[in-house]
Amino acid sequence: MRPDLEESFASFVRGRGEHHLRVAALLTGSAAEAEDLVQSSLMRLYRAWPRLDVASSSPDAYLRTIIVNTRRSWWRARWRQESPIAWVPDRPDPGYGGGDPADRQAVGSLVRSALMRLPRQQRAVLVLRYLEDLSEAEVASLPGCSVGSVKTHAYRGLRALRASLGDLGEFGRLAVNETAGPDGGKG
Amino acid sequence: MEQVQEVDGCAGAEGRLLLAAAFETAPLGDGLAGSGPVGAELLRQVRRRTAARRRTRARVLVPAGAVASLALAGAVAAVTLTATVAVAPSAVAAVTAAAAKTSAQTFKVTMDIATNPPPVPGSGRAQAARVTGAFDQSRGVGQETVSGAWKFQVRYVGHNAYLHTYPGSKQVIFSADQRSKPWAEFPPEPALTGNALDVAGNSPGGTPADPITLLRLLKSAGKVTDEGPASGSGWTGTRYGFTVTVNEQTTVGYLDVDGQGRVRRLVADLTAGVGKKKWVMSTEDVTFGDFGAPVSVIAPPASQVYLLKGPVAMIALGW
Repeated sequence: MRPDLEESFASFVRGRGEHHLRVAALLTGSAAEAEDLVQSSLMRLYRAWPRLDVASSSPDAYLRTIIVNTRRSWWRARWRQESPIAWVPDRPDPGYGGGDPADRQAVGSLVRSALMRLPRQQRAVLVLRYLEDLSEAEVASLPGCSVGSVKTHAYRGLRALRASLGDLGEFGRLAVNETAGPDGGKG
Repeated sequence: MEQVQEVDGCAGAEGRLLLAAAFETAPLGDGLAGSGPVGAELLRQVRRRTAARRRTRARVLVPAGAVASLALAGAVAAVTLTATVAVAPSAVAAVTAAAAKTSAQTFKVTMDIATNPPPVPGSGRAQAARVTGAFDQSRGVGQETVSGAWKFQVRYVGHNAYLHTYPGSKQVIFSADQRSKPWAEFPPEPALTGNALDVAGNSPGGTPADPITLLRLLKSAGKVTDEGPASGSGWTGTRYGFTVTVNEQTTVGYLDVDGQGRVRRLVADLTAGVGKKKWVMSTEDVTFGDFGAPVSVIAPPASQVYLLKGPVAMIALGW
């Protein structure tokens, strides 16, 4: 690959690699599997990099599609179990600066456990819609989904997630009371 | 059929907050822990794997004839030719491959299952049942007939699953229609791309009590040990011990894999709970056979079917 393309790929991975790794961790429920998934996906992205039009389309979108497709092929080919063997918060994000890190860690751990109790596709839609902030149409553009399916998964997934979390007590107040703004966030 | 509603703004906002908390505190893999900037380390790992892949491809491209000529010449080849060296698969690889291969073909099963109540006074008593079944996952059809402590039948036909209950048997009453129509139809998940067999055992809280789910567990087996030869009527093979833990449920047992890489027998203890509350939830002894035989399962007549509603449908499927 040309040196300028090598550098642009390297710059993308250095800057966005951790983000996609964390998203993959939520999709798979396993830090080790997420690492494997993202590495495999980045290898595919690397091979396709010279052909991509990164000037007009974000590499994030390309990588996200590869990650979703790779995960789907792994799930169908190997029926890989999705639940983690044991989900233990290893260490807090060193970059986290706001609020009480211990509370934030606890909420995060609870939500991840609840996510892993959801069916695979509901989990994927929640992550793509409410973390990656894709529109329903953007999520639907990924193979295997229709807009109607996205709506269904989002509604059922949020309802099941909330029911699974139950009474978060103080942790619930920590999460819910952090409003996203005057409009309460995007719908 | 459940009426799906749009997600309102408040629910969406809460979802964003919850997902953000989960995202920000997600633990990273051991390969990245303490390694400095995560993105930089990820880049190094990708470059290492890409370089290793190139080296492997270069070895594979060596013609097989070159290997043969070296052997005939009596030369000792110090070169490692990955593609031409036969390496015995690891126990984990053998088990996961056997589970995958068995799932990919039709088969029949006989399963003896014994269950134990939680070690809490008043939780009930131990029970036993026998399950006979036939499955063709490629066509999304399957059938299970349960007798003994429970008596019911389940049919999987594409996106639909049907549960047949029997008068007087100790079953959960789902609907008043049950008295006039013996078959309960589970509403299909319209957004699922798989079939009802995919749903069975993959629903939240489902217990791995059926052969399909047991095989699915083994496809990502945790600890596996080679326990030596095994044999049965008309086959010989290897026995593997395994331990798999999912959502605080641990499955420990062994499976026998025949010479064609198929699961012939699977014996498993499923435990639940943690610490002092741990108990053996069920013991299952499953025999697989009739590989490749046609499996014919049809949906029951519509006049005998009523539609189940609500989340109980998903829980029941994961019986």
